[in-house]
Amino acid sequence: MEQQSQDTLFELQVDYEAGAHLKEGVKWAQFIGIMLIVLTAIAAFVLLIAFIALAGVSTFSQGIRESAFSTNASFISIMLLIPMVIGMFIGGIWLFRFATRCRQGINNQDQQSFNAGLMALRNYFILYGILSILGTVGSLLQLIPF
Amino acid sequence: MEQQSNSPINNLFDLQINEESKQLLLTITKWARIIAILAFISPAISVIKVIIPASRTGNADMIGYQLGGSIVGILVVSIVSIILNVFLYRFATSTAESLQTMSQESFNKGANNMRLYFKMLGILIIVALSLAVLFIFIMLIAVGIGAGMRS
Repeated sequence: MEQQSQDTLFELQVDYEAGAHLKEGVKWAQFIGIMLIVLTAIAAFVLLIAFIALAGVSTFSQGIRESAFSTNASFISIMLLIPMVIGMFIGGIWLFRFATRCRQGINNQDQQSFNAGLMALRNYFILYGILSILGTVGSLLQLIPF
Repeated sequence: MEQQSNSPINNLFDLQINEESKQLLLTITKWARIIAILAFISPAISVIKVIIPASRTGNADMIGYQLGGSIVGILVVSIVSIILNVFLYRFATSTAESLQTMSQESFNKGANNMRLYFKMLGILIIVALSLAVLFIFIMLIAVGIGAGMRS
């Protein structure tokens, strides 16, 4: 126990300054999380309407070859957008969780909540990182002339 | 003030960066650095993506016209994106450094950069949403005027 108290003197702490920065940071992170959840819900609704509309066009234009091709291309675009929207939605939930848990941890000096908040932030950054890598690879592939 | 931040007695009641939080922060800083670096690269890819199709047209006037409009847009987005991701990169490097050297000053610097990153991102979202609402409003007015002129 005494050893543990000694150790804390040399460990990094969320002191007054870091706590103040983190509190303001999580306030903005919470706002961003809520915005991500709301905007992706709207985007999902728009995609659903586009999907239904395209399904209607597809059955109407089955005989016309060119039109059917462009409809298929639109279908593929929507299919590629769906995982992106789902990813952003999950990211929003993690960011919101980071904000609420971290704030709870700082306000109540609760180490468990603080670590739970950091875990949510880690998940958010991993997801965002994977989406960024996929986005960059996609952009690079577009540069290759076919 | 000293009592608030540096007193050893106070430290016993502060939140600690224990082994679990240290491991979590290490992963966070690793991915934050990857995201920031990719964000620094992407403006260059965007410029190349604009230049290649424009140069295929062959017409010098057309190239100038196409590049002018696109590059201004890319430049604005790129500058904003780079400033935003500088905060993310600084957060990653300062926090990683603090975990290695146990420097409280670097840790606080990292926390400050994380605050600035989320704050700037939040403000950008507010600006983008405001512009989108303004655009929809202008479009509705334009459609209304167009319908009024036809009837």
